[in-house]
Amino acid sequence: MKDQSPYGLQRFFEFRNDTGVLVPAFAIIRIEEVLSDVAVKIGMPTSAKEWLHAVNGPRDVAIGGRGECTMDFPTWALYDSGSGTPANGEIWKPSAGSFKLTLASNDEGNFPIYGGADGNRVVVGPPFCNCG
Amino acid sequence: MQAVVSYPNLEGVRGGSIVWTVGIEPSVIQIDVVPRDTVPDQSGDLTLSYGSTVVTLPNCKIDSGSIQRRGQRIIGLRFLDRRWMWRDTGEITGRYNLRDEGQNLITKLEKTPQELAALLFEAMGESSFDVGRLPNDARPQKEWVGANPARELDELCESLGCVVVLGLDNVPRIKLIGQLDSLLPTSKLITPDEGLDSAEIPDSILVIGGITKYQGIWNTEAVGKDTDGSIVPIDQLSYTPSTGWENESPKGFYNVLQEFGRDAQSLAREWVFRKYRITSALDSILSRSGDVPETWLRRSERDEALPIHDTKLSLVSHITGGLQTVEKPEGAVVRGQFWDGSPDFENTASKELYEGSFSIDRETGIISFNDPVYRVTGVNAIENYQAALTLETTYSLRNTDSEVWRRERFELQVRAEPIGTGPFVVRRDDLVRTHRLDYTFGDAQLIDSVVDADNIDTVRSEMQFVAESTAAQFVDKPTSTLSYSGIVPIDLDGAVRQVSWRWGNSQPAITDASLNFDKSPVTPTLKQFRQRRRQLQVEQFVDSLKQLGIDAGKLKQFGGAFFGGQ
Repeated sequence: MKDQSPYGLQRFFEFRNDTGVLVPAFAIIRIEEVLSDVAVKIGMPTSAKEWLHAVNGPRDVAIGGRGECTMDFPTWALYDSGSGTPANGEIWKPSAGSFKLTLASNDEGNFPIYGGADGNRVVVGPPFCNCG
Repeated sequence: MQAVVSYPNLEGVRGGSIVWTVGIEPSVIQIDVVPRDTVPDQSGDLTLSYGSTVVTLPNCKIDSGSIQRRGQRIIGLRFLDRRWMWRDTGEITGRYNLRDEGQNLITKLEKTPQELAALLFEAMGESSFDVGRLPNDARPQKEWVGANPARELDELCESLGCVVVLGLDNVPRIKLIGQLDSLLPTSKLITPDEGLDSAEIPDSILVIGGITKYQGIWNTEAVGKDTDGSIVPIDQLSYTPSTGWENESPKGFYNVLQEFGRDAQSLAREWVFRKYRITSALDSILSRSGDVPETWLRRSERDEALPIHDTKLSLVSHITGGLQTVEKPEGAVVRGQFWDGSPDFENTASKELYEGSFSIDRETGIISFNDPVYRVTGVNAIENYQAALTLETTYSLRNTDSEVWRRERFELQVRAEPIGTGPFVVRRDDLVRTHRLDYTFGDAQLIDSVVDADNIDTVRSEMQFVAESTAAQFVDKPTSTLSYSGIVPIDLDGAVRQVSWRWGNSQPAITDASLNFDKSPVTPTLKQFRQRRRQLQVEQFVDSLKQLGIDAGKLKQFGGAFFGGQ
C-alpha cells in the first residue's frame, strides 16, 4: 500500500471500541471522548443532528479492541439497505443506535452520496452541519 | 687477441665478466682493476671490444666496489646495465579490461596484451621496442595505481609465457619462452655441454575463476524484530495481537499497543509488513545438467547466498549530470501481489512490479519498504495479510559442505598418466561466470518462459587458453651451455637465456651461451626473480590491508579472495 494512494493519503486516528459490540468496517461512529492515551472513545450515533461523526476504517474492530477512524472525506461508509440503494447526489444520515447510514427525508440529512454503492458500502462526502 | 673494455675514466682493467640475462632485472658486469688515481664515472656506456667485435652496453652504472688482494691490490667493480632504471624507477596508472557487473568487457577500457605491453614500455621510457611476439588473444584485467611498469610488464609476460629480452642492439623485445630465434654459431665453438631442464610437470592445470554470479528470483517472507532482538516471521512474533495481524491497522498497530505496550508497537510499526526477507530461490540453475530442465528445479536457500547483491546483472543507461550516458547495473526488482492502496480494495495482479521505494540489506537479505506492503481480502470488512513478493537480483552461492563461494573451474590434464601430484592451480578472479535467467511470468507462481543467458562458454574458452599457456611452461627442455673462444656477440631470445663473456686476468677470452637455463651466481635467475616479485606483491597487499586496519589473517576466515580460502 503506497502512501500516495487514495487510502494512503487518508488520515486516520485511533479509537477504542467501548460500544460493547463489534464495530464493523466502514461503520458510522460517534466520537464521545478524547482519552488520555491519544485514542478516542467512540459510541454509536445517537442522532443525525450532530457533527461528531467519523467513519471506521476498513477493518472490523472487536469489543474492547482498537481501530482507526477518519474524518477525511470522501470515504467509504456503511449504509442500511433497508432504506434502498444510495444514488449519486442523495443525502443520507446517521441513525441513532446504528452504524449504518439511512436515507434522509426532508432536510435532516447531512452525508452527501458520491457515486453508487458497492455491496454494503457507499462513498460519502464531507458531512455538513445539521445541528440546528 | 686481447679483449678491451672501456668505460668513462676507467683505467687499469685486469679482466672481468659480463653476465647478460633475459628479464627486467639488470645484468651484472664485474671488472677487476688495479688502483689508479682516476675515478670512474658513476654512469656511462660500457664497451667490450675484441678485434672487430664490439659489444656496447649503454647507460651502465657502478653498483658497488670491493678491494681484493691477489698478490697485489685489486679493486673489484660491479656495474649494472641500464635495466637498473627499469627496476627502480617509472610509474604507470590506469585501468584496463575491466568488466561490468554482467562480466561484459567495458569497451572503452579494452586493450590487447600487446597494447598493454606498449603502454608499459613507454612508461619505462622506451621509445623503440617490439611486442609482436606477445600472444594477443587474452584480455587480462589490470588496475595500476602508481605501479612499477617493468614489474607489471614482467607479470604480463609471465602470464602469457613470455619474457622481456634486452637485445645487444639496445632494443627491448618480448620473446616466447623456449623459442630460439636463430641457430647459434658453430665457429669458435670449444665444447657443448648438453643437459636437460626437467620441468616439474603436474598432473593437471586447474584454472579457478572469480565468484560465479547468478541472477534469479527469490521468494520472501514478512519478518519482524521481536522484543529479544531476533528476526522471525511475523506470525511468530511475541507481540502478535490476539486478533491476528489480519485485523490490525498497518498504519497504527493499535492493538499491539493495547496488548503489549508502546515498545512492541514501535517495533511493529518499523517492521511488520515493511520488512521482507528472502527465503529461497524460486528455482535454481545450479543443478541443471544437459538438456533436462527438471533437474534445475532445485531450491537455493538464503544462507547459501548471503550476502546478496542489490543490483541485477543486466545494465541500464543512466544520464549523468554532465549529460553523458553511462551504463550501470539495473537495480534489483520486487514483484508480487499486494494491495496498492486502491479504493476498491483489490490486490494487484500476481507478479506486479512494485514501484515504491525500498532498500536491501545485503548481509541479511532483508528488503525494507518505505510503506507497508500487504494484501487485503474480504468483501464487507478488509483483512490484511502478508504480500506475496519476490526479489529479482544478483547473488552468488556457497557450497553447502565447504562454505566457499562457487567459482567456475577448468582443469586441463597435462600428464597422460597421472602420478599423483595434484593440479597446478592458477587463480583468475577476473574470469567470472555469470548466469542470468530472464523470466516471463504467467500464472501466480509459474514462470511461462525462461531466457537463459550464460557466459560459461566464453569463460571456459578463456580458462582453457590460460591453462594451455600455463601448461606450455611445463615442458622438459634440452639445455646446453655452448662455450666459444673469444668474445662472440650472441643475442638473447626465449631460449638463449644467458650469455656471459669473460676476459683478462691472464685467461683467454671466453663466451658462454646457456640454452633454456640461467646459472649465474651473481644474477638471480628468471624463476628466482619472479618468485621474489610475487612474494613482494603479497607483502605489499598485506601492508595495504594493515594500513586500512584489516587483519589479513581474518580475511581467510571470511573466505577472502587472496588467501586461498575461496
